[in-house]
Amino acid sequence: MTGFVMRRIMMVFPVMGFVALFVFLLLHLGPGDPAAIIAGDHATPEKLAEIRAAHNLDQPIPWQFMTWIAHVLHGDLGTSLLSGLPVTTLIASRLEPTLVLAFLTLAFSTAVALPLGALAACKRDGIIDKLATGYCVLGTSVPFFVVAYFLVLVFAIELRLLPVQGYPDAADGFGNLLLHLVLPVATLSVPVIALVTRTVKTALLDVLSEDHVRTARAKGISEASVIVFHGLRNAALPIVTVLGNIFALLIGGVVVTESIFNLPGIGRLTVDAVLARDYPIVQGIILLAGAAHVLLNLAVDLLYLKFDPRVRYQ
Amino acid sequence: MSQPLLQLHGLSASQRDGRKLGRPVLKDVSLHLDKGETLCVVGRSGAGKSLTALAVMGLMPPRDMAITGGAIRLQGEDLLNANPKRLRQLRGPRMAMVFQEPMTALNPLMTIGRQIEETLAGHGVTARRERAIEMLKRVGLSGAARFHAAFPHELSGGQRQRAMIAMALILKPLLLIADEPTTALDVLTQKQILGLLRELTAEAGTAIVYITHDMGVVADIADRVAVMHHGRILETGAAADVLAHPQCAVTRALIAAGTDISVKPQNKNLSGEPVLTVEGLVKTYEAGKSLRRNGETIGAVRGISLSLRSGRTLGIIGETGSGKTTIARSIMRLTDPDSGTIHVGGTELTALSGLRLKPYRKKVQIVFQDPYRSLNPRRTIGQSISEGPCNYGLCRKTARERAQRLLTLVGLTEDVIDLYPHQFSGGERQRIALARALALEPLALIADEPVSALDMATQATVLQLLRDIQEKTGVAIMLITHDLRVAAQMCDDIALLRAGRIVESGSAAQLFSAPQTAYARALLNALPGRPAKHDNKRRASG
Repeated sequence: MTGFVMRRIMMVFPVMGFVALFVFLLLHLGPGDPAAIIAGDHATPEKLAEIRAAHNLDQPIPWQFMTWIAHVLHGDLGTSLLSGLPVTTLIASRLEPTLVLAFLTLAFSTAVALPLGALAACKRDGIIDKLATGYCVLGTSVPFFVVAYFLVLVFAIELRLLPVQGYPDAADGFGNLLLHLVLPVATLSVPVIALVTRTVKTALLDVLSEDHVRTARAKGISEASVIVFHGLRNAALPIVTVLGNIFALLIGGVVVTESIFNLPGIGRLTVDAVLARDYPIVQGIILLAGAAHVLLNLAVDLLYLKFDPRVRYQ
Repeated sequence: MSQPLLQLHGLSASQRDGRKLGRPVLKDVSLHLDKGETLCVVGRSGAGKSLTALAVMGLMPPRDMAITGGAIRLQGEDLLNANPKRLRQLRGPRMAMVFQEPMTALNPLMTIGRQIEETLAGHGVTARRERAIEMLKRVGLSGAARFHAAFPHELSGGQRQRAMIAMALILKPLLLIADEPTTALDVLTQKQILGLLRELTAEAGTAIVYITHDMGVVADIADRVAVMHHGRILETGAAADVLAHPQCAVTRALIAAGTDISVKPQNKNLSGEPVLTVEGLVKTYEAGKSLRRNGETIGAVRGISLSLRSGRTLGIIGETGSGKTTIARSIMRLTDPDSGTIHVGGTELTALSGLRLKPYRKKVQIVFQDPYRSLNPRRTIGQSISEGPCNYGLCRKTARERAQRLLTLVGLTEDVIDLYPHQFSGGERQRIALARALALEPLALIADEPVSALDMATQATVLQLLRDIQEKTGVAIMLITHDLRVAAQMCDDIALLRAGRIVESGSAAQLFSAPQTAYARALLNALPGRPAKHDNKRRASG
């Protein structure tokens, strides 16, 4: 088992290495001079030379990569071209809204989707199942901005129950912050609930058709115990996997939602950086999203150990 | 007249698709069972035996099946009209069930102990841990505390079935339904499990409905027999009567398949050259903290030598975990042996690897046990069959023609070539797997339990096919099986394996008529229905 854990943890390094290589090459794979890309449309030759020297662009590419990696490993992702601030500082300052949003979305969606998916699976073809199936199709096919503006129109503008946008400081009242997060979380939850509900339903249906569930019923234990201890527990693996992936996606930044609700998170930072061609920031964000995916997948794999004794055995 | 423990009266059921009723699967099934009695329900697969059992337990899959008429009474209580809560109360203390495949019938993610205690918790019993451990002791799992904490995959098939029996009998039910509980086990384990069932149910006065296709088992344990065919009860009566004077052809066929060991007639092809020689093969696995065998690793091979001649069939017989499959995997070079040599057509293989091994890979081909999982579900069978020849440079068109020829050879038709595996039955799939193996025109064919996933009637046809193909092509066959009856029908030579060593080898005729070792005799004696068969013959001739 320790062998498995160690092997699995060691796998993080080559994968992150590839992500880093890709991020680094981003500047070099595009057509033209990286210095010109960094400098933008109205650069003078002096400016270009300055940038080349500052970014080691006159060095051979492998050497550039080595120096860049060395800097990254020291927590130095470069400085923003626009503001001149370190990229790590900029990303760190935007991390809180995104993390809070991701966490609340995941928690709320799971709380809704788990019982909904389970009910749909247990009462297959029943009214709940049909409604849930309809919702799953709708929820995954309606774009974020439609959901977001619809929610704003109804709850913020017509009913005046919730604020339209913004992310107030938590120090000015936690309740106020939560109120501001209701609509963004609801927006993101619409497709996430759909996705998780469908995953729960299919995973549970798969498990419920297995022989051991029949054995459990033959024991005369209550149907609720059968569903929870033999059904949902055994269906946990695919569900946890999907939740892990969704969490990683949400951390990578939810561009549209953050823009609509004016939340100063990673998504907004991405938009601003891309529009301003602020390459170091874009690189930093991709690196962060990559790391989130890799680490959350690691976490999911380690959870497998907890859920499935057969993995431990190998 | 006292009322019977269980009574089925005119039970009928049909397949269903939504609200529509489909094919009837049970037709007017009437049975009765008295307290403490053992009733064997026999029949081929698809006869409706398991469905009848599930109907009694109230566990018929409600989406696919519907009961259309009749009544089921347990101690006079109407089960078909009982509400779900009442049925739950009855399952466990009144009626319990043991299922066929102990690997899938146990929850893989829950310890054995918890699965047993769950039964107790569901019926409000306290001191659950003590009772579970006590029960594990009684089903013969010594070191019960360790088994209590073990997961199903850590147990052998026999141990799992013991755990399953512990689970079913812990509340001392009046009725135990056992659905082919020993079909997946080897004969020695089967004998132990049957003994255990008899002992435990006799103590508590439990009545048993025992479902099987094996008339040998019937002869060993049944008080009464009911023979089912196509959802109908064909005949029923005292076991001795039915075995001695079967009334219908189905019963006679079942008796013949179950209790006769028919040894294959002498193969005249004695001079066949050795195409495959194995010498001193050793392959051990790291000993884990496995519960299965104390100190011994499962499936290890410790110094095996054997030789396979063209045109002949060599049977490798042994219990689960005796190393049969490891031999096959070593010869196929799917695993690397620790030491020993493997010669195929005169070339030593263990030293070769990668590209240098490739020319020899096609000379030995394998047919696996489970035809449902050994064919790629996303490829047409034509693609699966011609993939090998294509890899060895045959052009696609020629390979396809060869595939068509082979499909005819294995008794299918050419026009099925573009279908997918799920469109075939288990027996047909095993024919396809055979065609795939033959596509490379191998010198030797390894058949690893080729029929154990099939029902008896299909088994017979697939075995016949293997014999025909050997006659036509002269291919040497290594048949790996735990089933002595299959070995007797098929093999010219036999190597009897135990814990990775050959304990007895020689001609099949000799092994079955005059076994030399105690182990071989024990195996033959463990075959169900042996004494009954002799009784039967005596009665028939006298």
